[in-house]
Amino acid sequence: MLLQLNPLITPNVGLIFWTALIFILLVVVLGKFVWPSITKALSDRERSIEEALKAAEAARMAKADLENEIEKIRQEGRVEREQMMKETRQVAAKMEEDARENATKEYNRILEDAKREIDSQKNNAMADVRKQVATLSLQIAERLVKEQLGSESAQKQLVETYLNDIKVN
Amino acid sequence: MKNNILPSVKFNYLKITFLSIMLSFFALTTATASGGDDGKPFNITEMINHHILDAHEWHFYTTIGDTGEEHHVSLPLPVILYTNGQFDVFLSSEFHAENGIVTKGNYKYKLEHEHVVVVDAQGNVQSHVHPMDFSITKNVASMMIASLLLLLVGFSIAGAYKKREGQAPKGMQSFFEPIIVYLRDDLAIPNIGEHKYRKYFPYLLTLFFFIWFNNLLGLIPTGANTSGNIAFTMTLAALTLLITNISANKHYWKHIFAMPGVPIPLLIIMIPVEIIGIFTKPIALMIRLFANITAGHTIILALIGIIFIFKNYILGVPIVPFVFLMMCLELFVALLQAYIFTLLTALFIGQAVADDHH
Repeated sequence: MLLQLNPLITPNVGLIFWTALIFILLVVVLGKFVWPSITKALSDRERSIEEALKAAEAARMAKADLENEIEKIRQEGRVEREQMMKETRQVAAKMEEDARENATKEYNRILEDAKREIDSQKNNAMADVRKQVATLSLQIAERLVKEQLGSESAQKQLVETYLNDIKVN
Repeated sequence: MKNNILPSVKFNYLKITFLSIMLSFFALTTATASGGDDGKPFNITEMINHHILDAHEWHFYTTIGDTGEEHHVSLPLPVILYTNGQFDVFLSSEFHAENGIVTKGNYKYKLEHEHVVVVDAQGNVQSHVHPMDFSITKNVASMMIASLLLLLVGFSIAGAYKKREGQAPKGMQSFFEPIIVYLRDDLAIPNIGEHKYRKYFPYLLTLFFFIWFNNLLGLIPTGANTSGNIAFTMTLAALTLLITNISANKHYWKHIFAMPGVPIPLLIIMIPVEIIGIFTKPIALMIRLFANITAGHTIILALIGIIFIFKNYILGVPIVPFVFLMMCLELFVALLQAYIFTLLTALFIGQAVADDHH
C-alpha cells in the first residue's frame, strides 16, 4: 500500500516490458553484429601490433648484431693495418740500415782500395823517382867525374866524401 | 564488494539529506509564495514529480494565453492498453478531449496523475478493472531514442573497424575504443577471468552503453528520467540476477547451501542469509542507479525551482552557475553509475562462475 502511494518507487509494468524488450533486442542485435566485429578487430590489431613490435625488436637485434660484426671487422682491419704499417716501418728501417751498412762497407772498401792504389802508385812513383834520381845522379856524377876527376887527389877526396856520406846515411 | 558499495550508499544518503533539507525549505517557502502572476500557487513538489516521473506525452513547454489559460506544447505518444483481453491503441492527445475520457470498446479510460484508469459513464473510477498500460510513454520513447543512437553508434564504429582494418582508430571510433578496451581489460577480465569473460562481454558492453546513453539523454532539458525510473533499473537488475544465477556453477551453489568449513548448526543461519544475499545484490543495483539519477535530476529541478518560488529572476545569477556545476557533476555521475552497474554485474557474474579456490 505504501509502495503504491509513492509513484516514484512504483514500477510500471509497461515500462518493465519495454525496457526488457528493447534491452534484450539491443543485446541480441549488438551482440551479433557490432561487439564481435569490434572485439575481433581490437584483438587482431593488438596481435598485429605485438607481432610488429616483436619483428621490430628482432630487426633491431639483427641490426645490432650486424653493427657489432661491422665494428669487429673494422677493428680487425685497423689492427691489421697497424700491424702492416709497423712491419713496413720495420722493413724500411732495416733496409735503410742495410743500405747504410752496405754503403759504409763499400765506402770503406773503396777507401781502402784507393789507399792501396795511392800507396802502390806512391811506391811506384817513389821507385820511379828513385830510379830517375839514381840515373840522374849517375849522369851528373859521370859528368862531374869526367870534369873534376882529372887529378888523383880530386878522385881520392871524392871517394872520401862519399864514404862519409854513406856513414852518415 | 562491500567496500565498493559503501561509499556509493553514503553518497546517496548525502544527496537525499541535502534533498530533504531543500524540499523542507521549499515546502515552507511555497506556503508564503503562493499566488503569482497567473494566480496559481507554484508547487515545487508537483513540478519536480512532473519532471522525474513518467508521462504519456512528451511535454516541452507551456505558454500562458491572454485569458490566463495554459497551452501545453507537447508531443502526443501512443497509449497501448490491455484490459481483460482487449487491446486499445490511441494517441495520448485524445485524453485532452472533454472530461479527459476516451471511450474504446467496452471501456472508458481516463488519465489520473499519469495513471490510466477505467471509469464508468459518470466518470467514477472503477478500481476493480485494471488496465495494463503498455504505452510508449516518454521514458519508453526516450529509451528508444537512446537505443537508436546506440545502434547508430555501434554499427558506425563496427563498420569503421571493417573499413579501416588494421589501421589506427579515427573519429567516433577513437572515442569509443578506449572505453571498450577499458571495459574489457579493467572490468570484464579482472572480474570474470581471462577465459570466461568472452561469453558475457557483449552483454556487459550493451548494459554499460545502454545505461550511459539513457543517463545522458535524461540530462538534456525536457528529457525523460528513464534511467532514474525504478522500473527501468529493476528490469536491468533482474536481468543481472537471472544471468548470475543461470550461469552459476556448483561452487557458487555450494557456497550458498553448504559453505565449506562452516559448522552445520551455523548453516541454519547462513543459508537464509546467503539466499537473501542472492536478491539483495541486484536490489542494491536497482536502488543505486534509480536513486543516483533521480536525486541528480531532483537537485537540478529544485535549484531551478528556487527562482520560481521567489519569482525573482535575479536569483538566476547565483543559481544558474550552480546548476551548471551540478550538470557537470551529473555528466560524471551518468558515466560513473553506468560503470558501477556494469562493474557490479561483472563482479556478480565473476563470483558465480569462479572456480573453487578453497
